Amino acid sequence: MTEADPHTLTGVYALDALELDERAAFEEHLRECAACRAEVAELTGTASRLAAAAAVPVSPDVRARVIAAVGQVRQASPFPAPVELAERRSRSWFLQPASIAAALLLVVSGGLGAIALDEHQQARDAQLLTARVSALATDPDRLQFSVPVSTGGHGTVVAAGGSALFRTSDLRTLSDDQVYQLWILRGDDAQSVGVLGRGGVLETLVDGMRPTDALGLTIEPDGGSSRPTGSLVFRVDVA
Amino acid sequence: MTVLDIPGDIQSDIQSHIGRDVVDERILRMASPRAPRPLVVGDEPSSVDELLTRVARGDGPAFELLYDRIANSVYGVIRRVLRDPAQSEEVTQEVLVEVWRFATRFDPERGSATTWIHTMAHRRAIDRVRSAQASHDRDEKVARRDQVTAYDEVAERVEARLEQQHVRRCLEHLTDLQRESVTLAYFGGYTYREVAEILDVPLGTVKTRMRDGLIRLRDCLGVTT
Repeated sequence: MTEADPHTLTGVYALDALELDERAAFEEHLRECAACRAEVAELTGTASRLAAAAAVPVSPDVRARVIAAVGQVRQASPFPAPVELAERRSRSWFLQPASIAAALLLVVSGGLGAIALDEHQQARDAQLLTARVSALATDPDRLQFSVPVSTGGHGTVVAAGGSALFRTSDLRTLSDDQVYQLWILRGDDAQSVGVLGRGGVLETLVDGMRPTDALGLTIEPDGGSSRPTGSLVFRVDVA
Repeated sequence: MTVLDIPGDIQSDIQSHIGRDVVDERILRMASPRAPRPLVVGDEPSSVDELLTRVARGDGPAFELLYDRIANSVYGVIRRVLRDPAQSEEVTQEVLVEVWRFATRFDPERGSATTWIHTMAHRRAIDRVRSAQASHDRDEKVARRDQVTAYDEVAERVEARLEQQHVRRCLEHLTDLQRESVTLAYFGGYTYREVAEILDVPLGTVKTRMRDGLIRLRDCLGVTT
C-alpha cells in the first residue's frame, strides 16, 4: 500500500477508481479492516444507485442473446475453490480478485464449459484459472503488450514467470474453414498453443514460456495445423 | 409463480416515471396470478433479491424476469463508462450471463442483489477501460486528449439525463467538487489520479471528495446495507 492511510480510499474503491495494483492492495487491507468493509459496503450500495439512475433501454437483441446463452451455460458451484475459500471467509462478497484481467476470467473459465467436465471439477478449474490469471495480472514484474493483428483487431499479452495470458479483441471473423491458432515461437521452432477460434474475443493462458520466446498468431485451415502454414498476423516477443 | 412478460419499452416507460424500487415491487405483485395484492411498497426483501435467489436454483423464468428488471441499468452504467454502444452491449451480455452463472454465490446477507449486479457491471466496464489503456502509451495519449472533451460530455449527461429524480436531487446536494469527483470516476471511468489531473486538485483532495460525496449521497438516498 503506497498510501499512508488506506481508510480514506473507501470512496475511491467503491467508485472503482483505483489503479489495478492499488485495488489489489486495498483489498488486502480490507481483509484486515472490518470498519472499512462496512463502509465500503455502504458506499458500494450508494454507487449502485448511480447505476440505477443511468438506466437506458437496451436492445431486445441483447435479451435474446443472453437468454439463449444462459440456456447453454452451467451455473457455477456455490463453493469457491479451497484456495479462495480461506480468503472469502473474511471478505465481502463483492470483493472479487483484483485483476486487470477480471474481464477475461469469464471467457477463460467459460471455455471449460465446452468440455463435459463434471461440475465440481469445472468449478475448481475455473477457480484455479481465476487465481492464476489474477496472480499474473497483479504480478509486479509482469510485462504487458498490446499489438495490432495485421488482419484486424488487437492482441494483448500479459506475461510473468513463464506464463502469459493472451487475449484478442475485435478480431476479423474468419470463414468456416479457417481458424486462429496461437504458437510459442522459439528460435526457428513453433510449438502450438492451440486453436483459439474464428474471431472476436479469443483468449488463452500459455504456460512453459521462456524469456526468449515469442507468441505468434496465424490463420490456419479448420482444425489447426501441426506447424504454422499461414504467415504471422501477430507477434509479441515476451522478453 | 408464473412470469408476466412485460415488454421492455413499457417497463422502461414505467421506470422513467416512477422509482426503480417501486417498479420492482409492482411487477412482482403483478406477477402473481393468484391473489392480486395491493400495489404498495412494503418493507419486504427486495424482489430482485428474491429473483436472484430463485435464479441460483436454476430457475430460468426467474432469470428472464430478473433480466427485465436489471438489464437497462446494467447496460446504462456500462454505456456511460464505455460510451461505445456495440461494446457496451457485448459487455452487458457478458455480465448478465455471469449473473446467471454465479447466482449460486450470491449471499443476500452481505448486500442487495441489485448492488451485487451493478457492482459486477461497473467493475467489468472499468476493467475494459483499464485493460485497454494499460498496455500502450499511444492509447494513453489519446485518452489524455479525450479527457478534455470527455468531462463536458459526462457532466452534461449526468446533469441533464439522469432519469431518477431522487438521485439527481441528491447529487445536487453535493458540492461541485464532490459531484465532479464522483461522476467523473463512476461514469467517466477515470482513476482518481486522472480525476485529480482533470480537476487540477491534489490527489488527497480527490480521495476525500469521493468519500465525502458518496457519504453525503448515501445519507440523502437513505442507502442501507
